[in-house]
Amino acid sequence: MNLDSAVPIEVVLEIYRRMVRIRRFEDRLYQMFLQGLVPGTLHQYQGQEAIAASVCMALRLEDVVFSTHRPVGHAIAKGVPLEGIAAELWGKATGCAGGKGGQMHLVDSTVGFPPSSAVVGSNIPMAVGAALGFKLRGLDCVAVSFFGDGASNTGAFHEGLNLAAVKDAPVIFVCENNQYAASTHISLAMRISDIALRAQAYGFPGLVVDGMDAIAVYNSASQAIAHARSGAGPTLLEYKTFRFMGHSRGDPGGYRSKQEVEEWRKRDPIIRLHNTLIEIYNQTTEALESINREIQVEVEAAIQFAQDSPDPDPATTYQNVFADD
Amino acid sequence: MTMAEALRDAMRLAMHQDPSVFILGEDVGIQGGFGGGFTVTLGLSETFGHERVMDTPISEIAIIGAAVGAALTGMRPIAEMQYGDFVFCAMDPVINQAAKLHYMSNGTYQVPLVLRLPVGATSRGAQHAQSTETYFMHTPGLKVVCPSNPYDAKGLLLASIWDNNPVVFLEHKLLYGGKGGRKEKTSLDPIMEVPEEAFTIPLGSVAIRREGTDISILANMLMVYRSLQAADRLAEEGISAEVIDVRCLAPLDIGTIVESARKTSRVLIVEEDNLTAGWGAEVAARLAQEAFYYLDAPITRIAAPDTPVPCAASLEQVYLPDVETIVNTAKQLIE
Amino acid sequence: MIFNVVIPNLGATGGDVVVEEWLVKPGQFVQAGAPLFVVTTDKATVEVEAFRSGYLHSILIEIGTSLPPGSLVALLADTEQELNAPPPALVLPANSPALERRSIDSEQKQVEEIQPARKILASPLARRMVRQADLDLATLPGTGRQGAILKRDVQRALDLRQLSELSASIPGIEVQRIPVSNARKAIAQRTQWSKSHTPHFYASIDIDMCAAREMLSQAATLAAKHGWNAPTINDLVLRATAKALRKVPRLNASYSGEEILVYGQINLGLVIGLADGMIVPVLHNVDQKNLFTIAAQTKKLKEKAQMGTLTAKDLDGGTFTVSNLGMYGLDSFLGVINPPQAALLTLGAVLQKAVVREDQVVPRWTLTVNLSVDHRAVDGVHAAAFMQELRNLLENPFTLVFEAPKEEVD
Repeated sequence: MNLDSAVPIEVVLEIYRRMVRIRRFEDRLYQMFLQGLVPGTLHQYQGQEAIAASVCMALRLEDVVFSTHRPVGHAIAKGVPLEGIAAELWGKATGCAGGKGGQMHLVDSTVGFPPSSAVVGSNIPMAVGAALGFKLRGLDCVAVSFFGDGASNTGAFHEGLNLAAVKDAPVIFVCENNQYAASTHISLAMRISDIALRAQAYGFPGLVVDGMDAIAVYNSASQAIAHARSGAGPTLLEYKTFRFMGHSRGDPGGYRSKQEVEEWRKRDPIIRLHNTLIEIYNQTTEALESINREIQVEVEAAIQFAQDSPDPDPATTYQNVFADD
Repeated sequence: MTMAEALRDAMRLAMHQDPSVFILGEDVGIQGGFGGGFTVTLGLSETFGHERVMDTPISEIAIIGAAVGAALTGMRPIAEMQYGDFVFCAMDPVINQAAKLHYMSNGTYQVPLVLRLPVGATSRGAQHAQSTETYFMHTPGLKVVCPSNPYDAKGLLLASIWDNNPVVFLEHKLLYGGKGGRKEKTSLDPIMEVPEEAFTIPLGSVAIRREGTDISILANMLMVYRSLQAADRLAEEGISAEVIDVRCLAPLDIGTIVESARKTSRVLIVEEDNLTAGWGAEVAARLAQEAFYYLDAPITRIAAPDTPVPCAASLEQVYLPDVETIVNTAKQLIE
Repeated sequence: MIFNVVIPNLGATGGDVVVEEWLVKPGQFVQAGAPLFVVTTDKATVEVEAFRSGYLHSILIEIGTSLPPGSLVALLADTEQELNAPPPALVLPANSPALERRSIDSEQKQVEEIQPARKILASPLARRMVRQADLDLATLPGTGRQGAILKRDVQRALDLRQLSELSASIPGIEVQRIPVSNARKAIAQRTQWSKSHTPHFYASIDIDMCAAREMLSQAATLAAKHGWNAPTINDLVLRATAKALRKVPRLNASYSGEEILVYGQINLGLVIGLADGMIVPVLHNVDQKNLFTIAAQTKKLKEKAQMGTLTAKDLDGGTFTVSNLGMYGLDSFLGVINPPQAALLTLGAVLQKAVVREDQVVPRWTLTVNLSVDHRAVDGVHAAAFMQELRNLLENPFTLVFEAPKEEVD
């Protein structure tokens, strides 16, 4: 696999856009959180943007993405409108789940984003099932499951990977190894250091890739997706990455050294892609700045929209327990 | 047809009609195999192939989780647990995902899956014997169905497959009607005429199996038969018992049950699950609220004691509600 | 047997007394002579002893009520089993305040009523029925577990009410309203209870009274000479009844559900008509009294009845009742048994009737006697034996005055 192979400029620009969108949105949320203005909880994605953006760029609209308790990055990357995400975080009627899902359960059926599931590992078998369904119907769609290093120890992970292998399910397992499951370092949770090794145990390819390198992520993801679409079965992509913020809102991250955090911040994927765009793709700084400004406006507008939106009608508490009722 | 045959027939008809219906579970389609734990899927893989009748490794979480994922993205999976007891390995996908995702997605996604669970005590020991209705009845977002006979089994299973919600479908092992080497000791094996064509029985209904005026007996699955036997014995002593087959616990047709209670003024609930917080407790509480002024005797439950299921057949007899107990309790309520 | 507990004549002025306290609880056993209850007179506080041993069946009055002596205040049962039985003949003088306070309904669990702290148990259905029918839950007996009132108990009360409502009145017709006295109410309740709870059957016999009349005429002559009361037909019948009951004791009994209680004493109740109602004083141990004694005592009782001076002792302990409407010229009539007795003898007038003797029709003085019997305790066989014995005795009246020789034991 050539992780550096040339990626069309439109794709790279769009990846950049999405990464910036995620970063600006998450940063703005954090700022507001510090001011006590964010009503719910937050599980932030800064540092991991390359993975969500690049993987989702490699997908089609009809492919589906199964996300976790940390879904904002994936949702933005898959195309869930920013307004809907913001409103959902504010618990408003205009939220993508009408205020009934909350930050951990973003959803949008129009862009292939089923409700994200917060029980760690739970989305893995679901992605396998979706993939099996596509296969049964002869569709060449694929399913992606995003999860972290912590999920790779759950029963759901092992059962899901094994089932996908045995059935050649068109699913891509994307492990965002940010080294920590909540506060537990990966070395305390497993004896191996490369989770991709586990794919071997189940008999299918596993790849370790630098998750801070958007191009590498894109290329690896594209390969795995093509592999799945061809009917050859699953791939486990392990992206080494880092979560710049705490596990969740209010987590000061006392279990990580300042030094470690700074080391990883130096490898900021947005800065890296920014530089790649300038150096390799001959983009101008102004053009990129302009993108940044556009997105800043988008973010502000989305958050304002959320704050201005009405609360959900109390009657909706009782609705949609059952379909057709 | 026996109940196993009726269930098989329902799935066969559904799979013919709609390519999104498929089966997954352990040993469900293996060539030369048993057709699932209790022969229900026997022969289906020959008709529909091994992809649509999908054998899985022993991976309950993956089986049900995959069923959820497939259901979310346009399929109608029928997942089978080899023994209902094993569903506890996979309660997360049932309770945290299947039940909730429709609600959490604000109605934009559906989970039209059926989870088939063989239940009931059959002298195999406590981990292969439970009646699990109550856990699912308690969970908003799940439908819970428990047929007592082949006709109901076929109609209710078809209705469950076409329902756009997750349905937990309980099948009592002693009612399957397995043959030859698969026949259960002490099984009842009800056999009856079942229409060949597809038909559905709406979910959320109970069935009055015997009309009466002196006491209403509510029961499900195997206990329906014991209650009917008890009703015969009571009739000999001049007591007219009404027997209601609570074949669907969620949604619950409390209206019919309340009407019966108003008519007879006495209610006896007979259930195979453990007494504490069993399904009978919920029905009793609702009756106490809605039929209070019509009751001439305390609402009474006969259930298995609060113990795990003992294995020895003799102990199982002590554990399970029997006809004698039903008769005596009914008489006490009338005195 | 069930006995009345009354306020005794407590010496002093005989004015009203106040019952202060009961020293025995209903259901408890009390020894004869042991203190049963406490009253205050105008002079002092006095403990009243139980006049016989027994189980306190029920308390009929409220503490603190002021009552004249002779007032019925409680019932005492001989045996534990009788605690559940209905109270006996309780037709009181019309001025008895106990009746004013509460009509004796033998179905009521009077224990519960006197102890208001006890909660009434009733099923929700029963309560709703009671509310809708405007009944009083406190008046209903409960046959469910723990004595709970169930639908069937309410239904029975409704049926009874409906029955009484059936005969309530005929609308649209001019009506004279006669107030119902306590005595009347008591009769109504007792006879209604008797008829609905006691399966009555009847036996009838005609008795040739020629010899009896002859004998009575001679007895009257003797009585006049000595200043004794002349025995009446009724007195003769009483004596004959007592002797017949000695021969067929089964008729001198009560049905208690578990057992048939055959009484050792023969205490005959006499039905005496009053202005509004009737009263049934009792002649005790009639089999031990000779004809003149009976004559004297029955006269006395009649007088007391008309004066309203019958005491509780006079009204107590009846085991069999005799009712005579002969003075009104009736041939015969059938009566309602006086519970808990097993039988009632009713007499018509002694009339000349055409009777067949040796294939000839001859006029003979004839008395038609009827027996109303509780079929639970007594069968036709017993009734027939009794009636035959009665006839034998009355048709051979000397057997009523002369005794068979008694064996002396050395």
